[in-house]
Amino acid sequence: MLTVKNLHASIDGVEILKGIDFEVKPGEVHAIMGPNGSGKSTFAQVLAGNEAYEVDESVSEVTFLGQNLLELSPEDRARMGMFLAFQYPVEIPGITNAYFLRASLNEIRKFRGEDPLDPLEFQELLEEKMRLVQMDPVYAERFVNAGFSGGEKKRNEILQLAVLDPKLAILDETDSGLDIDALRIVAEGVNRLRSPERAFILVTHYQRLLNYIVPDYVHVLYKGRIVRSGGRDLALELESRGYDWIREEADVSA
Amino acid sequence: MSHITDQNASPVTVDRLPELLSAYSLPETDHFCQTRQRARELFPEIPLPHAKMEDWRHFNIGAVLNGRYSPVFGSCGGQSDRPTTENLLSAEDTAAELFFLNGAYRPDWSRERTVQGVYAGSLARAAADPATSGSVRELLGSVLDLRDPFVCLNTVFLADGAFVQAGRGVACAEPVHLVFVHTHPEGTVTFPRLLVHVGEQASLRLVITHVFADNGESAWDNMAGELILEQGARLELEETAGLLGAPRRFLSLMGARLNRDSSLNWRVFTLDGELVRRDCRALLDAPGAEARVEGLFINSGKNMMDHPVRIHHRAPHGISRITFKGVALDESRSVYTGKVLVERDAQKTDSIQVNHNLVLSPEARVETRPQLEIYADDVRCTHGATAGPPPPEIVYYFQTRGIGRQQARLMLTRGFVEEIADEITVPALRMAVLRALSKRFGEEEP
Ligand SMILES: Nc1ncnc2c1ncn2[C@@H]1O[C@H](COP(=O)(O)OP(=O)(O)OP(=O)(O)O)[C@@H](O)[C@H]1O
Ligand SMILES: [Mg+2]
Repeated sequence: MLTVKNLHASIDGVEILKGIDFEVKPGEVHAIMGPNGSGKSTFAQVLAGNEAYEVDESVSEVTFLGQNLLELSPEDRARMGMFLAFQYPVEIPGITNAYFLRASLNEIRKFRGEDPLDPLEFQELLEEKMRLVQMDPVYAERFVNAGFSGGEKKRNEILQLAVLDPKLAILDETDSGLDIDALRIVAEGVNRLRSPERAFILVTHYQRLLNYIVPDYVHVLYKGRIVRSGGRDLALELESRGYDWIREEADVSA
Repeated sequence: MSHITDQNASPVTVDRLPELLSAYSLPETDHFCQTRQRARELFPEIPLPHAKMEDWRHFNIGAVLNGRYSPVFGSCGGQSDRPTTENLLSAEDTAAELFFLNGAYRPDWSRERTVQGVYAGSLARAAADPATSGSVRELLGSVLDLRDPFVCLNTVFLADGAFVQAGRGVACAEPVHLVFVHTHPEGTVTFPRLLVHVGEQASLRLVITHVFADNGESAWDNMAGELILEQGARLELEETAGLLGAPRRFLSLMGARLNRDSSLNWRVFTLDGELVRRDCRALLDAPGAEARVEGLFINSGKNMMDHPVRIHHRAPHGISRITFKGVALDESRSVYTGKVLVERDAQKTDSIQVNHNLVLSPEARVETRPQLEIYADDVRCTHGATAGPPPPEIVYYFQTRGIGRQQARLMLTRGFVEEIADEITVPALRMAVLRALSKRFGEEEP
């Protein structure tokens, strides 16, 4: 589904990603962990197509569903089935959640050759998904994220995920800022959306999330490289030992 | 109805005034004789505005004043049919629907209804009618300063206009609709006039629609209007220009005076127009008055729009809110100047002023100047202004949801403009404005 080879990316002339190799197959759940500033969000943003980052295309190779991802606009990536839940979702004054999500879903449907949903059909779908993520229906008519608490914004990202039905969902610290109930709801939502066709990349700092959503692989990103990969045990090991040993190993081998 | 076209039109200047007046057939002995006379005597003493004056620095007033004009009144070769306004507001849903053609009242187009305690009709007729003449004499010219050149000029040519009066305690729920039709050839100027009086504890809803049709290239409309709110009065005012036809050169100066505990809700829409300046002023003259001014302009092409808004707090416990928004496209030039003046006695004033501008083209320019001048010490006044393109991080967020850049910008623009239109209190008009906006910022890139 997604193949990343030797990905180098920089921002404002500073190289952040220094050669990432990474592969995701349908149905898999990958967790990416790593200390602050190691490049996790950068990786997620580069996959989503954020133009603030410059990818060194002379060495980097990224394929998504058989296509050269680096040539695609962010909207085409989304239409093909990529979804990024932002670490810091933006507020959009003047546009309601319902209107925004319907426009979004209909763009994706158009790309797939499906008919657009009219407001009523969409309303039904939205209500169903709002129940799934246990969100009060009044949020449908509120402006996107405007004045939402940190946790509400995160939950709103999961609502979008549920409505848009992507093939590859990247969750950038969606668990941060959630209280324990919200965390459980988000995790349950994700678990229910797990399927053999859909893959997840979970960026997280906390083993806690991985108790709810059990990953197939855990990767540690450090200084722009994946320095270690393993099964879910790796997350447990990080939880008990911290990152120092990873740092030492990586800095020695570097 | 008089009809004048002066073939030898030249710039409106002091020297030209007598000549212009002789060409403009005004009644010899109507009730405005003395008013006009005063204005005529004063006009030569008033300096005409120019680009070096602070208030006119950002507006190309030269482009208006350097034109050659002869004044016209009533029908004068433009469109001669009554324009259709049904799609904005049906006559059925109004307390009265009055049409003015180039400043002259058109009873044959209008639907006057008698609502107990409400007068809505011709200003000239009201000035002649013993029932209303006292009010007209007392109120006309009592808000706007005759030393303002455009007020003065308007008054020099005063012949008729609109007069709306709600008597003490009258609550008129249905809107009074005033339709000002501006349709006249190149090289002509009109002087529409408006006087509104809301009596003690009365409430009135007023919709003003400016229709522009078949105007010659340099056709100029120089409007002046006065709104007087007595103690405890309420006025809802919805004023649109550019919804039905676009103005060529449109200067309008509207001033309100608010008495004790009165409240004014005023919405101004300029959706199109070539060279437009709409001055909105409110004087909070007695304690407890409240003025809310909301505005939206959409400026495109090489057009120029200027919206100076002034709130003058003269008495304590006043509340004022200015929410002005602008959308700037193409190579347009836009100015917003908001001045809130709080006098020393206006303690406990509560004032918030915001001006937000969405700049959709790198060639468009927006000048935003929110200003506060405070002489009282116990007040709460804030102001804020922004001008810029849709934030790239928001556009990017749309993109990550499958919505392309162009459509994102359109959706953001619609959301931006709808916020003001949503506030319109007359449902049919609100729908009409929303329709126009969604048509304007529909599927294609603006
Ligand atoms: N404009 C910029 N110029 C230079 N460096 C930048 C810029 N923006 C981000 N960085 C740096 O890029 C590095 C990676 O940031 P990123 O947000 O990807 O880290 P992260 O792993 O997601 O961290 P966290 O766990 O705190 O979310 C950081 O060291 C950050 O300071
Ligand atoms: Mg991060």
